Amino acid sequence: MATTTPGVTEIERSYLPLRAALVRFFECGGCPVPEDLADESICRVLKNVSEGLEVRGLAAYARAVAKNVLMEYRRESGRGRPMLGDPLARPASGAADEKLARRLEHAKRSLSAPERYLIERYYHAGAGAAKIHSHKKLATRLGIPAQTLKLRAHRIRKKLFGLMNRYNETDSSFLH
Amino acid sequence: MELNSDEQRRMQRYLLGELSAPEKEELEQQYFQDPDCLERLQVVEDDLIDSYLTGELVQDQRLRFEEQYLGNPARRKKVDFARALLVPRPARLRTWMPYGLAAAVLLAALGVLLIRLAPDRRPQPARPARPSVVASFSLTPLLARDTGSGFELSIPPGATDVRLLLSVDSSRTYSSYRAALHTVEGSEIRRWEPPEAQSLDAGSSVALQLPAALLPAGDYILTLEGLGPGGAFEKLPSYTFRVLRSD
Repeated sequence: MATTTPGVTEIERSYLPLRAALVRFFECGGCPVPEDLADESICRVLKNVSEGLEVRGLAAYARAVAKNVLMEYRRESGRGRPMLGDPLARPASGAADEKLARRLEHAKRSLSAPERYLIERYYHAGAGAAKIHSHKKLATRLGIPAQTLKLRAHRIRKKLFGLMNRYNETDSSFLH
Repeated sequence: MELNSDEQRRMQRYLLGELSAPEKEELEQQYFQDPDCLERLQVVEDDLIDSYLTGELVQDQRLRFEEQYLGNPARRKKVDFARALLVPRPARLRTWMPYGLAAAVLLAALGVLLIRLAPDRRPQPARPARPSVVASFSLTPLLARDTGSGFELSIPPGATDVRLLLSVDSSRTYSSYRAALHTVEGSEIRRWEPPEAQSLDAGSSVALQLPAALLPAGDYILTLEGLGPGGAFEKLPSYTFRVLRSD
């Protein structure tokens, strides 16, 4: 009988989408450190597979492992419900906002001109009916369907968010 | 990408923690298997965060959002990022901002001074009440890109009330307005129902007033709705501003 057991190579190939799904899973589980738990889950999957465990369907197995990781995490945190951070946490201060805005401007410089054009027009479109109208106009101007525009804007936004996170990790004092 | 409204609603409910256990299980199974589904979920999340920031969520959703997002550091980061993305600060704006801010402070101070100096012809009550000192500010809607003012309100010490003059699109006709002011965390500060929200200048602005004590330093979102010809309130662009206090 043919086996569908994934090997370590398949895990490596599926790493990025799998990790993204795991991060989402932990975030929606109310976990404040979703990325750490996603990495922990992947390590466990990798370890079990490299030790010879037969797994049919990598995604389903990773999700089962993630459920266990989340349960353990909740147990260790001493709570039976989703863990949140400090609910009274203050929003970013004015200075922090300013720093964030500077970092964003810096991150935007890494975008190509069309990407920058799209994201600025897409997200500076107001609210409610004005936003819908503005998005329609932009989609027409670019000659793409509204859904495609939305997806492109999302991908650029994700790229910017990734860049900002990298700045945070390196604590880019050059932007202070 | 094909995202129909049913799927969008289901994903939004998932993000707000509103799905039943089997529904949640089903969606998780889908996005673990299908990277496109995961991407659609992320797009829905972008929309959800943006709608929160522009005051487009209804009360229940807003409360759920705050419960699910604002207390969670990982998700909070996304909200902070989105706020920066939605409210850009172009270079030329930053260059002019100190002047704009200084002008706003000067105008507010002048307003306070004029009100203090104005002769009071009203009959004096037996016990003198504290005089009303109103600091006025003009606000343009969120994401109106042409002006550098309106983002930061410096309320002078001693101001008892704050008057907000909201510039609105005068090409649309509304018979009356209602408004709500929230902190960015979503706590409601004040609501105005007709006729409290006064339309001025032939419908090109709306005036709101509230006690200055209700506005400690922080970030706020003001949502405005106009009563349209059909008899229903229509959502208008929101206003965001930061209050600075020196007292």
